[in-house]
Amino acid sequence: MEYQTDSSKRLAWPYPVHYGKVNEVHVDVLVIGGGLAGGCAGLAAVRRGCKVAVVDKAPIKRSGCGGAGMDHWNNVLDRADSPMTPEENLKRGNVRSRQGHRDYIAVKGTWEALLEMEKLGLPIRDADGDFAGTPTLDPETNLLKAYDYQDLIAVKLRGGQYLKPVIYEGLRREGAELFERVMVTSLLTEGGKPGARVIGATGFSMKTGEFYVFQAKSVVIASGYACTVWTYSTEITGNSYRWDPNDIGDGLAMAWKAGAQVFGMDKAGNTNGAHPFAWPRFGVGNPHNTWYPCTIVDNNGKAIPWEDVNGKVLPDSYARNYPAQGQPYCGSTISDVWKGAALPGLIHDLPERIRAGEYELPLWADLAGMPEEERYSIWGMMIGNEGKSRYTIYDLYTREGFNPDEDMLMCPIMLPESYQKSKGWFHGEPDVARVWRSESGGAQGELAVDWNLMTNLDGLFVAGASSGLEGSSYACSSGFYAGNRAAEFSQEAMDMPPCAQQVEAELDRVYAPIKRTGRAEAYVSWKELWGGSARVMQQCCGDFKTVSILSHGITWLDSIKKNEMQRTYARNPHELARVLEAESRITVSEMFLQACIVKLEAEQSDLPDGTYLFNQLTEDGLKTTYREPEYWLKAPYRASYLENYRFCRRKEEA
Amino acid sequence: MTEMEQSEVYIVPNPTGPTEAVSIDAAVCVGCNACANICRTQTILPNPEPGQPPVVVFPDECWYCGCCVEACRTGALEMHLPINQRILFKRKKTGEVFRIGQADGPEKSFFLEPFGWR
Repeated sequence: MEYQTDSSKRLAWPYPVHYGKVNEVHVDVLVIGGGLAGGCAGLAAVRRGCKVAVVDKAPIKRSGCGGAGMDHWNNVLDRADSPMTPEENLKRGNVRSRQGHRDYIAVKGTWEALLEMEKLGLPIRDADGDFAGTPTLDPETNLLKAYDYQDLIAVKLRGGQYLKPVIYEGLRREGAELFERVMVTSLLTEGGKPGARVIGATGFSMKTGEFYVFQAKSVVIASGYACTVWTYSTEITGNSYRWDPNDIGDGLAMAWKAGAQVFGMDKAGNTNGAHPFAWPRFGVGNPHNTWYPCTIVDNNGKAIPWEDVNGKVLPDSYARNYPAQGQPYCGSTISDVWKGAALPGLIHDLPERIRAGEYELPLWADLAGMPEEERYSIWGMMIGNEGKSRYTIYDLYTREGFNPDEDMLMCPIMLPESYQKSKGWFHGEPDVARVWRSESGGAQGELAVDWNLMTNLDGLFVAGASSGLEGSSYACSSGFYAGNRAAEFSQEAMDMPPCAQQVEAELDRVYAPIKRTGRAEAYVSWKELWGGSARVMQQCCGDFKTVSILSHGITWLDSIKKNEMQRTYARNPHELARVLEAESRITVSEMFLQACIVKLEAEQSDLPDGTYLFNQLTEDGLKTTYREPEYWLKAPYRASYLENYRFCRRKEEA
Repeated sequence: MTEMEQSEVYIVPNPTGPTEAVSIDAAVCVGCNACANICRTQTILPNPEPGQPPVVVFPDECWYCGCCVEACRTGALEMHLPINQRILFKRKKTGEVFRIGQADGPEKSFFLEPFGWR
């Protein structure tokens, strides 16, 4: 605090700084982003005998969205006694507007990846018998069932807090080289040309400012979502943010500049779900996700009834964990492509009944009124292992006197209608027009991939949220898969030296904010630059879109790039990273705007309904590729999900 | 009111956003930098003076993941939610309403080690 309140406390940067000093690293597989997806990709590649480097802006032991811990492992459908196969799940799910093959790759590998986590040392089973004899326990596997107590569909990760540390230890044990606090700034391509094979990347140290040139036979991008493109506010605190603040779209931006195809950016951040003015993650009363299926009472203690998807009112709290009549199973529709899996929730006409005065706000989460083992499952298993809630909720609330045996936690006060949005996952809805967008649930765009999780650029692979595969089980499953494919690519690929001109140009770009710092014209902070581009997106990429509005956005951003972006200062390696992130956000914003224009124009053309649009940057400008629905099951691919999957993994099994 | 003495007054920049994401108890801290080394956003940086407590430099960039608290072997760190993140809770039997962060709240009466912790 002294540092902030005492002006005489100006501190020297704690690390020796060597801007521009170049370090060269040669590996077979380079992984950009060492979170759950990148960590698993690195593990898979190193186990295939490759020399591997994993690079992360943060310390890898705890980096990424899942770095602080995870409470759920969803969709373990590839098990012998699963009520639905991954193939059936895809078939019944609405795969329109989603990429069926990458969904399948993720779902197919979740069970295998969970067992792999256990081999790495993650304590996933109810080893101490804490939940013996309770409905949440699956007696056959000794795993704890989440959501659905009839079948094992989702797992409560008993030791989920250690998910990232066991992956990190595995990487170290197997000999992967870890570059922590290094920000990757660009991809290197053969001959320095966009659209050519990817042969490495550049980066710099957020401690020393030194430059890195990574030469690699293949590269895996696992850098997460492009978050915070629409929002910058000092009222917003990282506490209410679900996504790691390091996830700002670096991977999307660098792959775009290298010529990779992107998909789904026309969704341009949906307005459904988390908004930036939310409450602590899992730190307010609500009946969903980590808090599922907590009893909710009104301000007079009157319990709100629950109903299943058929509208049948449920008799007690246990009934909330069983599929409705006609449902094979129930689970998280956030991760499941099959929306028929919808869980029970609070009665559908709750908003009207609140307005009519039958239930009085605020609502309260009645942990104390839950059966004991369900109470401790929420407050002890889930809140205790979902990393973001371990210290700031579990520890801090109990320290403040909150007692789950006696107390009820307040639900955010919202418009009555909001209690039926997002399946009751309450965030606290401000009563304002929603220009704020969540960039979650696949609406942030993704790098387009083939059945190998490879992009259109040779040697560039993708895993986790960068390919739209969100959540711990999908991240790990797709990470293992992408790492194996990248390793196989590397085993047959030639080493390629980077193009000197491309490296020189990036050195100039990266250090420009340092060089201009101190000059009178360099008056813009990274925060102001971020806020500037966010405002353009709020103005020009909202719910009502026209080509004219979107085009103004592109002009607007271009002007910021040529003016204020050239005046942004960086006084140390930390600020330099934040300035370059703000620049990446602008690139990602342009990608969103362009994709929306392409989409609007496609809607006015005679393209068949449901056509998939892919955008890429070429030397001649923006290029759009059109593909038909289910293109992933047509030539040159095989006709079924399983055949394609087995074919791609054939070398792994040998 | 009597006039107050104030020795020196400065013009200083304002901190943005939350001002105290995490605090470090200098009396307990051993200056090992474990918290600074695990922080994902460089919110905490090592003190340029070796052996001294690390510095909470960028609290507005904190994600509140608590990894620094976990990494500290002497228990010198404490997280603090921003004011706009402190919600109410109600004691079921008495109907009393408290707020996270209020000084005269109930005494701590519950702690159960989270499941799966070793």
